[in-house]
Amino acid sequence: MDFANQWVLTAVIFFPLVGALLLLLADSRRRGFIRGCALLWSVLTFLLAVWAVGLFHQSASSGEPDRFLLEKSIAWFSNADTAGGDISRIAADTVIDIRYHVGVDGISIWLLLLTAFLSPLAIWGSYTAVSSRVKEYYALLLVLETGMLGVFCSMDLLLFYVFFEFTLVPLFFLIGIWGGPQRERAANKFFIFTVAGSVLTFAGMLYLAYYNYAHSVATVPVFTMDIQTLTAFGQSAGLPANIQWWLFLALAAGFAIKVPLFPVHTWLPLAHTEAPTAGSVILAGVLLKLGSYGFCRLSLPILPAGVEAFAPVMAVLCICGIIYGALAAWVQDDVKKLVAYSSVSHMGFCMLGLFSLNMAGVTGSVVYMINHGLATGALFFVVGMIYERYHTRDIHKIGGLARQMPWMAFFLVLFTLSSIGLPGLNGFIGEFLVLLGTASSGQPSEGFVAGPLGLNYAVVAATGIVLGAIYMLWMCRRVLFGPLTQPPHTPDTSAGLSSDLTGREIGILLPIALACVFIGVYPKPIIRTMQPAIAGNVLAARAVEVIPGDDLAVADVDDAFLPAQQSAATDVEPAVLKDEFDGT
Amino acid sequence: MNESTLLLVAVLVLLFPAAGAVIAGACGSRWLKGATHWPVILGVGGAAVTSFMLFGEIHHRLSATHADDVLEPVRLIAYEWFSAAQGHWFNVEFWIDPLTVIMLVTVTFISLLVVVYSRDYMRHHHHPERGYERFFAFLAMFVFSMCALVLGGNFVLLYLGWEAVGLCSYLLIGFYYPKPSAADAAKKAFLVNRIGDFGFGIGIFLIYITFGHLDYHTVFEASRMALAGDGAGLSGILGITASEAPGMIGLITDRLPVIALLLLCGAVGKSAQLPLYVWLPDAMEGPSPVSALIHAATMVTAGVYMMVRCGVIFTASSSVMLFVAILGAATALFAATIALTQTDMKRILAYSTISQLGYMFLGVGVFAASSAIFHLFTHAFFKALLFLGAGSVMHAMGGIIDVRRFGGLRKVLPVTFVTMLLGSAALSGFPLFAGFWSKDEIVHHAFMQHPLLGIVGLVTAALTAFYTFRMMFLAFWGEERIPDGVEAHESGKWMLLPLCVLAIGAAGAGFFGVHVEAGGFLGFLAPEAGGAHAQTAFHHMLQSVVQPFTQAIHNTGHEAGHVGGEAAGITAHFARHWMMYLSAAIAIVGIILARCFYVTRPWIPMLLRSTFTRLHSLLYNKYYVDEVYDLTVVRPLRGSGSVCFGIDEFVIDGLIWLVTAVPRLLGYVGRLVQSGLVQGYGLSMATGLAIIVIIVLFA
Amino acid sequence: MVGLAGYIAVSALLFAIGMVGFLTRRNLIIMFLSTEIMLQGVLLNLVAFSRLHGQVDGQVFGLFVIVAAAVEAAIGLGLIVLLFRRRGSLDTEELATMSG
Repeated sequence: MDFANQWVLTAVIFFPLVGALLLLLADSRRRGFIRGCALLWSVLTFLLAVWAVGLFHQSASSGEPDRFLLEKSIAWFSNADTAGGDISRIAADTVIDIRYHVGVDGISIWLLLLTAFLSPLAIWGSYTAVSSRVKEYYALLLVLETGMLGVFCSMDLLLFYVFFEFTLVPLFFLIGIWGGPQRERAANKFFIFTVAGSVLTFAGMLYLAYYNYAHSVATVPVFTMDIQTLTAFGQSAGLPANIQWWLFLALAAGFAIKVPLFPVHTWLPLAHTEAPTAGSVILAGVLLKLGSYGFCRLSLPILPAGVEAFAPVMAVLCICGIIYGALAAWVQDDVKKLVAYSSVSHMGFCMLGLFSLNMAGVTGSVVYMINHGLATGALFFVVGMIYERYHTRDIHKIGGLARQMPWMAFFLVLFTLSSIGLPGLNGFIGEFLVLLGTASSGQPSEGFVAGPLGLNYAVVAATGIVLGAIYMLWMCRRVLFGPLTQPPHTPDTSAGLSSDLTGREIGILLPIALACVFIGVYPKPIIRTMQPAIAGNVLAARAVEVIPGDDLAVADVDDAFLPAQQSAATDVEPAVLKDEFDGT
Repeated sequence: MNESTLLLVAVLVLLFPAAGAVIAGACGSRWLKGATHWPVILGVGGAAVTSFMLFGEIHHRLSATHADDVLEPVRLIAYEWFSAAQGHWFNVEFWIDPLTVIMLVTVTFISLLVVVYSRDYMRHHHHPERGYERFFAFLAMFVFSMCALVLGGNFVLLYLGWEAVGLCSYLLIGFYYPKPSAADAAKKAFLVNRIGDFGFGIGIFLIYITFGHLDYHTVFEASRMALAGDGAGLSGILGITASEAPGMIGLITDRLPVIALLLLCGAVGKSAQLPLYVWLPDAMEGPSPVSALIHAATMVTAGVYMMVRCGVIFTASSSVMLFVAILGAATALFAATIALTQTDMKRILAYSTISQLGYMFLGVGVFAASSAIFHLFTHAFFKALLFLGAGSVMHAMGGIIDVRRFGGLRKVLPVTFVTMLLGSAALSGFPLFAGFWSKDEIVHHAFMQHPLLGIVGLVTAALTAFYTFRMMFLAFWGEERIPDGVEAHESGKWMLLPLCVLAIGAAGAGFFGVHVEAGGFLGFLAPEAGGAHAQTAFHHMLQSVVQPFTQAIHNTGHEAGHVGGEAAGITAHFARHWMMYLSAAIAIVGIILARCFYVTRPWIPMLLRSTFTRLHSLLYNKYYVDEVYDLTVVRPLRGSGSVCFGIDEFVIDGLIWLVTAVPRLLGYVGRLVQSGLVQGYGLSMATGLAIIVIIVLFA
Repeated sequence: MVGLAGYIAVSALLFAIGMVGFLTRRNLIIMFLSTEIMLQGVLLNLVAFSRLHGQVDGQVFGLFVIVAAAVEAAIGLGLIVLLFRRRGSLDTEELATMSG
């Protein structure tokens, strides 16, 4: 089992890539075969991921639940190992130790599963939609899957960045080749926006690693990009606040564009509208989460002072995005663009939860990532299914489809409800926790110091819920209800579709629907594994310093309602929780 | 029953309708088809039976409790749901007390009747209507949601039920979705409710950041102790140190009124009070059974239920209570005036529902919580009856519901006529009928609180009697008029049976709240005659629930005679009897006036209409509230959406264009050098080489 | 015995001839040949200095360059043939498609 524990993540990450390479050997005329192989391969990846979740749970239940598990670390760009343990021998040179280091904790394991879950569905959903260059299309989807899975497993900054950027290439081609009429512009805009941001992110990462190296207290300083080492460094007093601010801005540049946060979101509606259905699903379902995951995994734990300083600004941007995205969504004529703008609004909620910097908010945010991936991904599927039949997404040209397509109507309403946070469905859990976290951020709770936000932020953000209901229901009203309106010569069933959803399409949407209901009714398994990881790996710097034998420190925590103590608690230097950074 | 059996029964209350909904939804369209009503009838029936079991158990426990003891609510935890902090879970839990079981019994019983009624109503010429299975699945889902709302033991579950009933309402209003008006009405209902829920949700957040918990027990106990100034108890409940307790007491007492106002927002939306009532009249686009069940008997009363449930929070501030009372009174009067001129039978009833809900709010506001619940209970019967009767008329008239287009249906629809007559009598407060007792109690308490509120209540009662019988006279009296091409016929057994059962309820439900021995009107009947130990069955049962209200009124010293002993009771007693005669007279006068206007002297309303054209059109167009909302809220909001999108397209993208202009400019300069001629590049290389050589040689 | 200056003069002459040829002719093949001549000039220089210093490094390097030039010639001519097939001309004026 030890062998499996070590290698399962690597297997999950690279399995799709191998599949993509094998797929390239296939005869490109045998489309059915290629589709089947791609689907089978991604389903196998999903099963591997499920197995990984199983192994994770096994080791989590036996050990400390907040640790990274299923770890595997191999030297990559490293001369540290050549010293054979005797580092001093090469002390004159720079010791570089950049590693292929993968591992998952209670946060990333669920995002890993989400990715592996959505990818086969995206592949299955492209059966009738894509008919040109089939082989390359599916190969690129599989390559994309590897990139996304890699990001969630990376425990080394360089590896993280490589995978993070690696996702751009396949999606660029997916949009640019198989997209809509403006596909080239969309692909370029998408690529340039994200690359421009992530270059700054990379600069920030390098500087962070360099700063750690330069200020190392160890006898032999090692240039490392290990996330855990850097986290310990960031949470120690070693990283001054002003440097943290700059680093936060640098990291945020790339992540905020990826999320996307207002006002750098304008690439998203265009990319979504032009991307093929599977591209939109993956983009909304997983790729946007790379940004929020980046904040969650890197910015929050490594740069506590920077986050503390910028959280109100970020929260204001989030709230702007929530309201702005919702309002802009309401006036769209293109259904897909409407859903795209709803993503802007929803990801605002997700980020708001992160910056509330308390357990409720961050839990909500991570749950929101999963929920948004499911619900919005599914909405893009449904929109794509409509488009395949009517060749238009114009809300004025189609209407009253509920009568024609009852199954589609059922799913569209369900995912709409999930997306507007109806209790009992998954969206509610995330939304509620995010807003609860934001509202209660201003007071210390359960061992954590007070966060920077407060009820006023929650009140303004909650208007987004009302607006969300407005534009989503408005969309449902136009598309599903009212008298039947459809363009002439439609629905087009030439590609082997029926007027309502086919069995394949129901097969795509049903698993997502079940996942939505399950998470809404019984999210406990997810939240239970997530919260120790959040406490240990994200919010550790915000934990109240417990001095053994001194009950007063604990009493201060619960003293929620005295503003003087609140500010006293937040003004102190970030608490040193972990052992002193030792440079290795 | 022990606790685990109770839990099982409570879960069954929810599971029965849920299973019915799933079976109807999954198997309805393919296999069950015209028999889809059976799983739903069985499911809702099961819920009704289990609800009655819970009722019996609570009743049993109540009778076993000593008179001075308070019946502790039963708290049951089903499972852990989600959490906001490690190890601190929001549970799926139930809270069962007399209020819960009364609500449950009312909801499930009326639902059962409505489901039975729908079996025939949703058919045309014995063929199930399109969407038959969808209808029944949604109906069962509604029963599930409403039971969850009532059973829930924390604010999260309350919110869940709250939103879920809203969803079912949305789906059922939009049942005839190809009709644009129905689709719009559904959307409007959901959105207006969401606006109320916005405040409701903020209220819940405020509760969380104040108390750190969301379960009823902790919140209510902590509020009670904070209001009583019991620092020790408070620190025990909230797990804080004794030194923090005084600050906490101050904080809680400061925040409770704010929380109450925020929760009130939700109640105003759900129970269609001013200014968020606009969705309810439009909701009549749904099938009549839906109007009867959701938009009259059950869902819309959730706001009243919630306020009584959160009595501790609401009674913390007397100004909040006064606000609730004024709001209720104003809504009652306002809606009644609109109902005077409407011609759509279901819309008249809808405005009447708003008006009656206003009475319930008034009742809560004047600390008469058990009277409000009593009115809720009786109203459920007679309003459901009236809506089902209207549905029966509509069914017979081929879908036409405008009272101007038919008349004199007494002979055509005899059973419908008689049952509706009983319902109308109950609604207009005709002596001895259900509405008489419950409305009278509320008006009585309103007078005790403030005479003006009582007067508004009485005026509304007169208007109610008038418009109710206006509708009845127009529809059933006069010469027989039936729209062309309609073959009028009395409805079938499935529809008439629920009507008859409800008619019995409309006539008799009031007697649950009447004390038989106490003397008074007709010598031996009187509602809640006074004296703490002489309460009627209904009020006795609710005693533990409405304790915050009685406590509050006791503290403020109002109505000392009402709660006090016999000696002080005499004046109150007298006031009450005077009131009863007055309100009985008012109801009868209203009815007579309606008869005078619409049967014997039909020229009077014509004359009035032509004299007061402006007033009439103001009322007929519902004070133009919809138009005002459209102009002041919807359009600006949508306009700002366009502005946002414009900013996206031009400002943000424009700025980004400017940023990218720098590299583009550089590239433009670079392009000039790029001639594409190999020789040109070669020449520049050679020149460069020459320059380097010269520098090396001579420098 | 020819001195070092003689070798250098010849190599400079070869380089200059090649360069002038490259810059003045329009035909790609001629231009290609001119670059080869330039290469030979450089090569001669290498060998001459190798001889002068009595070390073989320069000559070894010279052999490398010859091999590389042969390979380059093969690929270059191949490309030129393909280009001619496609465009029907080898005039560089007409091939200025990379103009900005």
